[in-house]
Amino acid sequence: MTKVIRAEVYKIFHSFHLWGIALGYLFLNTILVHDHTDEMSFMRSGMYPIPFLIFFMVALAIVMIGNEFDQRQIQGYIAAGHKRFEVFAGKLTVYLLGSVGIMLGTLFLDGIAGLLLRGETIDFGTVLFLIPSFIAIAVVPAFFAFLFKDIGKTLGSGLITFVLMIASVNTAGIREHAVYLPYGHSLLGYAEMLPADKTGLLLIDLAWIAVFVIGSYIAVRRSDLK
Amino acid sequence: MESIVMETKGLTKKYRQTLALDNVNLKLEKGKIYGFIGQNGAGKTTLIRMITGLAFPTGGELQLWGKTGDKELQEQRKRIGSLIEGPALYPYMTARQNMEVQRIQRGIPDKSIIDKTLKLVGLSDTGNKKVRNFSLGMKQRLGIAVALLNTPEFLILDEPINGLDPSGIVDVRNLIKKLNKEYGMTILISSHILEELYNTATDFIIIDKGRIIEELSEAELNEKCKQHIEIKTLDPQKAIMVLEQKLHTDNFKIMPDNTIQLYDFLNELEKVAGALAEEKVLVTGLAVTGDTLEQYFLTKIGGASND
Repeated sequence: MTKVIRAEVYKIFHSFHLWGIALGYLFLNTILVHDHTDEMSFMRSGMYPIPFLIFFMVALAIVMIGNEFDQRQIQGYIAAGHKRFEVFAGKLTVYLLGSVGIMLGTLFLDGIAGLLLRGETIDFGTVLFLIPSFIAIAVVPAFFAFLFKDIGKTLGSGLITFVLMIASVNTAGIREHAVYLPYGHSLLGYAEMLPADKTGLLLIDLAWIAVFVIGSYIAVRRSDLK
Repeated sequence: MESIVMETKGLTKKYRQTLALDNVNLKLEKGKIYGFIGQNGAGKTTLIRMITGLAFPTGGELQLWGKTGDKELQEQRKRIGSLIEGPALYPYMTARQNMEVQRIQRGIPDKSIIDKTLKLVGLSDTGNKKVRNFSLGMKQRLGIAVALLNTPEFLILDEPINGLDPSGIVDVRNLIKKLNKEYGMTILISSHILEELYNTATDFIIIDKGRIIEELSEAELNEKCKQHIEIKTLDPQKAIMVLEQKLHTDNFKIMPDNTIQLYDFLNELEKVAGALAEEKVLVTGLAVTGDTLEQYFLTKIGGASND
């Protein structure tokens, strides 16, 4: 698996995809954060746009996984003798590092902006708590990419999921729903509605991660590849 | 048994209602160049995908160097290099960077192998040109270079000369022969350009509708493509009757285009012409000729024999 991860990291440093998506995410985040910084800290404001920027994770899953199935680059790993689990785990690890890195890094930059501009403190506890929910957010488009192994269906299903998420956060009783949805946890953080005991939320994130990671592996374990 | 690189026993692949491979029994011996011949959809790529681990059989057994079972097979695949249905390259990288990704993922410590392999396929001077700006032929050469990076013992090339210009085709042919001769590499090539396959391969495998219909060596093929009299006539049935009743031979074949290939009387063309004329069979063509691999292949998949 180390060899797959090393090859993936090499590709990241020779491709504009991840950096372009990271810049786009940061740019839109900056615009959306400014709508709320008058009322609250930069870091709390930075939690608000997270569900609205999930489509960037869909884009990342497309370029890092769906497109590579489509162009038969993932198949190249398998034909070279790597076990399917190694290829799956290597690809997913690097994708998660990229996607969680973008979400977490941007939130952290919001915190630094608050610290530099207003002397606000960075709430590391909340940042750490949100890591599992970021992973749970990112595994959903990855699941579609591993399931469909292409660009079109991954994009379509990812966008449908994105629209459903946006619709769900605009419904009444969002707090009741939000606890069960990983992207809802960042909204609860933004609204300062996170419970003192976060074990339940953490377990919900872990359940999402387990379901979608296992589902993704089942989708590639014995499937015929083109 | 290291002398047998790959063996299949009753290998079968079924996609819902379609039987892509039907009870395939095949043995590939070390050091030979196999030409894999079949129409589109005959099952060539399905078999290649199974060998390379991209598809799973629904029946039968696959062995690589005598090993079988998912885990063992995957380990043996490290000894294979492959180019399947066009090269899987990263268009935003240069040729050298593409090779570097492959070197890292295969865990090859020697970086100089990249330059050596690129030189071998004639791509050592592409510099910083991105693969997206390569011609089809250059991409194909790079795909071959990727397949060769680990100096495989078994090389699988699916349509390797697609998009190559005539000199590129000759280069690839010479390269394949060189790899076979110098490294003892076993090579399986599928191609639609049968003439080229004939010039490259030492053995031939013909597949049709998922079944291996013939395996033969170059010598056997030459024997089977032997000289014959080609009879073109508007009335083949009557001509057959003449051959059987007047010339007392059944050593002939009727081809899909209704021409008759007669393997007797090669030095007695006038006797055949005379017999046909005597029975008023209108002959539009009569000549001594030999089969090409293409004709032989067509005969095997669609030609009717007299027996």
